[in-house]
Amino acid sequence: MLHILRHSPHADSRFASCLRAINADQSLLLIEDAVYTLLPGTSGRNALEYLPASVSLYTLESDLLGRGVALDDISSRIEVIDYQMMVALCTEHAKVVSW
Amino acid sequence: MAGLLCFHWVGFMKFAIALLAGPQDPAARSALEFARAVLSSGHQISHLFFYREAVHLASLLGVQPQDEQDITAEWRQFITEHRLDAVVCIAAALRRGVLDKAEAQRWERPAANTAAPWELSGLGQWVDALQSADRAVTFGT
Amino acid sequence: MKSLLIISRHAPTRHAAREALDVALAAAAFDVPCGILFMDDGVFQLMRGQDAAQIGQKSLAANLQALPLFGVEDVLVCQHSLGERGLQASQCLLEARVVNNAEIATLIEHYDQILTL
Repeated sequence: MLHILRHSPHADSRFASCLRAINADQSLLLIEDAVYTLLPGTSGRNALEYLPASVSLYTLESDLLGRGVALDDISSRIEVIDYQMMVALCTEHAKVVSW
Repeated sequence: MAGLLCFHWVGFMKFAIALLAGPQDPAARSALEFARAVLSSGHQISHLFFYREAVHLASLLGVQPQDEQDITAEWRQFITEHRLDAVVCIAAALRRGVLDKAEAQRWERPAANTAAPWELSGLGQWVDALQSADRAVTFGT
Repeated sequence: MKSLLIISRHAPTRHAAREALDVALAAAAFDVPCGILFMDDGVFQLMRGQDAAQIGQKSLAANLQALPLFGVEDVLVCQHSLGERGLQASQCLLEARVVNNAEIATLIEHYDQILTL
């Protein structure tokens, strides 16, 4: 299952709700304002680090760059992808849940 | 080569894409970029559904400053170019003042502001789309 | 038929709450096996004693009560969201099954499609 988060963790409770509902072996893609979660030294980023290692994490490069989140600051756990790869992710997962 | 083509054929999927946020939300662009990538990856878009504030994308009356991108025009062009089914929830549209000619007449409003390629229809269309698509992806939640 | 779980997460004063119910009712009308999970501020929809007319709104109660009648099989409410908001299941105006985080994760696995509205 692929979970897609789009809201800033500071603005909305969806971030927390999604993290509570995510299971091992699932994937999480951060798009739009959810990329702010990746900024170092934030509680959101720490929460991501605590996810089981079997949860795959992805983010959209254009959304990062558009918001000034530096690629160098991203945890090595996160795979940076483009829209084509996002489509591929959707085909690889039987279900897509947008939070 | 034959193997590659065969692999491609097996991987082909029908996508239903729904957008819930309006033209002023970054989701309107995300959904469009995703839709473009679906087609360029060789998949099909079986349905597009516009609900909640996304119904404003179907308005033909928005005017953007010249140095800004016009997301409604881009959507319109994309839908026309690829001859996609673009259904706008009629109940959501009426509430927000997005009316085609028939609805403007029915409700005795002074003007219509949407037309083809947009189609006003019921939520049943989305329910149907969810049933028939291989993948359903929602933007602008 | 693919089953559909609607996650309704807006307060009742938001039009989005009504639009989430509309989707659930439309799906049920088309005989789609359908459930609705009230989560986050969505649990406020279930509070008793709402007098929507006081703030110029139409009550959601009729639509909520129509859910089981129209064939929305699972009516669920998130335990965590209730607790965070100082609410208890016994205060809900609808018979809703209280589900914890693990049960929600299982539900999301079990349903074929999930819509967060």
